[in-house]
Amino acid sequence: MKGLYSLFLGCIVPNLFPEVERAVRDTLSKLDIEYSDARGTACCLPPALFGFNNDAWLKMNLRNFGLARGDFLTVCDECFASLQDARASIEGEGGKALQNVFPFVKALKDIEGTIKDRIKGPLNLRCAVQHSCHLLRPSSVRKVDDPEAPKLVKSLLEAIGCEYVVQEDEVGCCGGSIYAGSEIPKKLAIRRIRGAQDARADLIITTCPHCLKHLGAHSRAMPVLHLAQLYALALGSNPSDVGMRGALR
Amino acid sequence: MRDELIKNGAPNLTRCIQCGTCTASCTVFELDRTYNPRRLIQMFLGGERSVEVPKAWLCSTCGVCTERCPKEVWPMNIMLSARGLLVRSRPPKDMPKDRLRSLISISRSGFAYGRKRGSRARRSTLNLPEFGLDKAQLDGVRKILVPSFGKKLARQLGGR
Repeated sequence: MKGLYSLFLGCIVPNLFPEVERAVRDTLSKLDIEYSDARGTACCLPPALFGFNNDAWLKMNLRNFGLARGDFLTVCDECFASLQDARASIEGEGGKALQNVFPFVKALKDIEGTIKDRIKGPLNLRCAVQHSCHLLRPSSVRKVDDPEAPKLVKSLLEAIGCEYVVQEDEVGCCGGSIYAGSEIPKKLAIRRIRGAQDARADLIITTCPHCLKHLGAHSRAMPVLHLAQLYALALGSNPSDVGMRGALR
Repeated sequence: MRDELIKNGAPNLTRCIQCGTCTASCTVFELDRTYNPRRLIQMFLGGERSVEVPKAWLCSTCGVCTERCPKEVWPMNIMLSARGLLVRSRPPKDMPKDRLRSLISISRSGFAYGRKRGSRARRSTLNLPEFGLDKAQLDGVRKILVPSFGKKLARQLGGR
């Protein structure tokens, strides 16, 4: 995919994890992936959080698409799923053709072959990946990766000299999208963190800010990072600017 | 409820053959046997209206059920449709607090998770551009959001 992406930041990254946003921008710039900000866009009203309210959801996203200056590039997989579904619904109802929607990993995948030559050196970290549910499923719609045995993030980690560690439950959910009044999200998070520890990982890597926020809140010793942070570090960003100072021992 | 679900995001509801693949695949069912997607779909198909509110909110939206469903019923979408209907038909206090807070945040800032204290300064230290909507953009968002969520919730979202 060549051309200019319209960067859709969502709300978690710019408001709660500005270091991840710095890492995303550094990674895109250092890999010569052209983008401009999708200024003025607002919440994608993800059905995963609020349920389907077709009226508000479609109107909010029609408004978002109206502000796109190219295909959307998302840094949150919940935004990716919501925008992708909204696009299909709007076009399906006979609306005009809209810009496409791609997740951050897709932009990396497209230039994967050139990454090895651009990094400053291999990172040599053992990474447990928290695969993001909203990036993978339903795979007939998302069309990003194999939903039962995903390979995309694994190969992107290997490109920067990291090792992908195999966990017992490879594609388990972190529980980050369940409402906070239940005990289940905590139980799931602890299970994921234990799984990463059992696999003797150095850290947990995810592509979704919801997983990042949720697992980070429950993890004491195990660092939880967005893939972009590792990429920025491998490409020579200042570790403290991308939230990496003190993240790794 | 059945027809409303079909119209609002769950068009394949009636294809369900009650095979139970969804329940067998469900991450949440594994930890809480009272959350049973197959049983919930059976209730919706029978026209049941009185689904306990928290039940519809327990779905983790992991989508494994929807990936594996042999009839493309898309159980996850059914739970999300049920949520959407509950949000509009029940008083706002029945909504999980974190979700209500997020909706209010969207009507105030345009985003489900608003700015944290100190994040503006942090953004500037990191050389990131200003982030947020101006007043006109925010008015545009409110115009969409407020009428769509029913009178009681609209009041909480700052509408009349």
